[in-house]
Amino acid sequence: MRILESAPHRYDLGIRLLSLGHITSVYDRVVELARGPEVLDLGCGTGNVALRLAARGLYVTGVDLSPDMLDVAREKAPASVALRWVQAGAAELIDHFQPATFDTVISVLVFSELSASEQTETLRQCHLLLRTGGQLIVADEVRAATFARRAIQNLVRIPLAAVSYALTQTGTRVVRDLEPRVAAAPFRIIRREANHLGDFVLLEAVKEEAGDATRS
Amino acid sequence: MRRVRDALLDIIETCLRVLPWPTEPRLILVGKPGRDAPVLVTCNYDLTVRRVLRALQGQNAYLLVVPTRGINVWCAAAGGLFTAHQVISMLRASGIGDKVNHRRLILPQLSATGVERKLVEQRTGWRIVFGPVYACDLPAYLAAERKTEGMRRVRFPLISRLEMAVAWAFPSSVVSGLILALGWRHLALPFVVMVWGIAAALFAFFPWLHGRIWPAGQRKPGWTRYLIIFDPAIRRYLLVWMAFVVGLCLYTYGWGNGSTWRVAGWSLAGLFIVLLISMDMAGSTPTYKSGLHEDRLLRIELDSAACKGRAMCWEVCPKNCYVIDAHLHKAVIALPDACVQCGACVVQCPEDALAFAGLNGQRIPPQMIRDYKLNMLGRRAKAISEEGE
Repeated sequence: MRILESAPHRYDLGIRLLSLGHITSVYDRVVELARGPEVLDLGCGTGNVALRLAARGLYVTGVDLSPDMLDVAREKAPASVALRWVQAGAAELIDHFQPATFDTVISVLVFSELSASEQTETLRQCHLLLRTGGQLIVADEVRAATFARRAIQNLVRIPLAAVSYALTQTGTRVVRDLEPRVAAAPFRIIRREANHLGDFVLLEAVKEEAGDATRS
Repeated sequence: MRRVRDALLDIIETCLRVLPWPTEPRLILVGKPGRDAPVLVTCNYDLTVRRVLRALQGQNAYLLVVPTRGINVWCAAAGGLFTAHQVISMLRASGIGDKVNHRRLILPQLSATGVERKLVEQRTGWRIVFGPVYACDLPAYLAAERKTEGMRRVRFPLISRLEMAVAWAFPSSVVSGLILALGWRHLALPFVVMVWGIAAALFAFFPWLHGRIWPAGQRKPGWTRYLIIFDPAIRRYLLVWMAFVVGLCLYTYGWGNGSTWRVAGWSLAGLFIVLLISMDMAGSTPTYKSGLHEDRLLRIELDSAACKGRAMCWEVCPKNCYVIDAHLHKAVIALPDACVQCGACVVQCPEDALAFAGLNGQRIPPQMIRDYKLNMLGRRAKAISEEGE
């Protein structure tokens, strides 16, 4: 959801409005699934997921490209929880972290902001940073599967995009081919949850041992 | 067919060039590039990508299109959307490293205000060179492997100015013309003609209006400030508009047919024209400083003791403000008044010898400019007020 990024202080309210409140349940579901204990929140924004994870007692590192968003996240974080915040792009994870550092990598509404080749590169780096058996959780807007559903999706999206275009001069995108890309990284997808329209999915995938991956 | 499509896209995208025109970030092969072919970088603004490709016709090169959200090089770089992060990301994602033997990346010079050279070089091992400002200079640049003074400087010739006039006139005449057509159909056409005429005249005479008659960055003297040209001060243009409405009423009810509906229509048209004239057109060009936020105008300060004369500022300044003293190995700000505050020199200086300073003398740390892209319009206020707290 890049359209709100230029106004970090209004991001939380804006994204709740745009998702008609659904985003809160997405955050909760992601946090519920995360095993940890070492978690990387890629594209943490204002820290909505990271702070919930930290409240569960997990060790969380939040990564975001925008220093303004990280400033808001720092302001929101209570002094009692230990969180790490790192300013970096999605393809710069290997500059900041050693391979096999994390048990869980989470990314909510990040892949929709990346170009196709960047998505592949980011997944490669996520794979590298996860320990064997580690868990990847991706939640994002995707292209609805059938023509009829895409028509409904566009009916909602186009006016919304027009308004956001007028207000912020930026559009939103949906991810294409998210699942094949995740599988090619290579991850094994073990869970797929979607909304009724099928234009928002949550994927849970695991990094298997090198041998397993080549066999599958 | 392709040529027709390109020409059509050129027209549409020029008329609506104030909007982003994103194209997929990717690696484009120009001609038949070998392992020693140059690697060039540009933004993912469609109009720019197609112009660069046209300029590169007959060359063998790689063109790396980085994601800048469909915004042009200059605006994206100054607005924090074309930074080292986007370049690093595409260097890795495109796999260009496996395709060439060298590690030399040519960036458009105007990206220097956004792309922190040091960061890309440290992270990726690629060496960054800032090429010419304009794509049309690329063939000469690639042939000579060096940049002439002309290639470093931003130009604003008549043809570019008229392009900008179209970019202003098209959306403003369509939107306001449609609104007027709802209630005052007879007014709409003359109004649209007026808008195009005003936009064309303002941009044709731009260098004289902005700079010679009224020196850039200075308050317009006396009554001339009520001409509100390029002056988006809300109180001033509302005053001008109200004066226009009063005059209109006096005329209509004194000498004309006394139609209130007509007064309303012309008042609305007058408001649109006042808004058009007073728009920050100077700030929409790379050659003139924005007229917005007079209170936020900053100076560049040079710490001569720290300077080692490595001439990065000289290489990236689009206004050729710097000269390098070859004997002392020091940079000198020779043309401080030409500066448009893009901050490219501050971002690139390897010694942190350059910094923005506010009118009250506060120095903004260069790293803050790099991290937060404070050269972006509006952000400076935050920096200065936070520093002052």
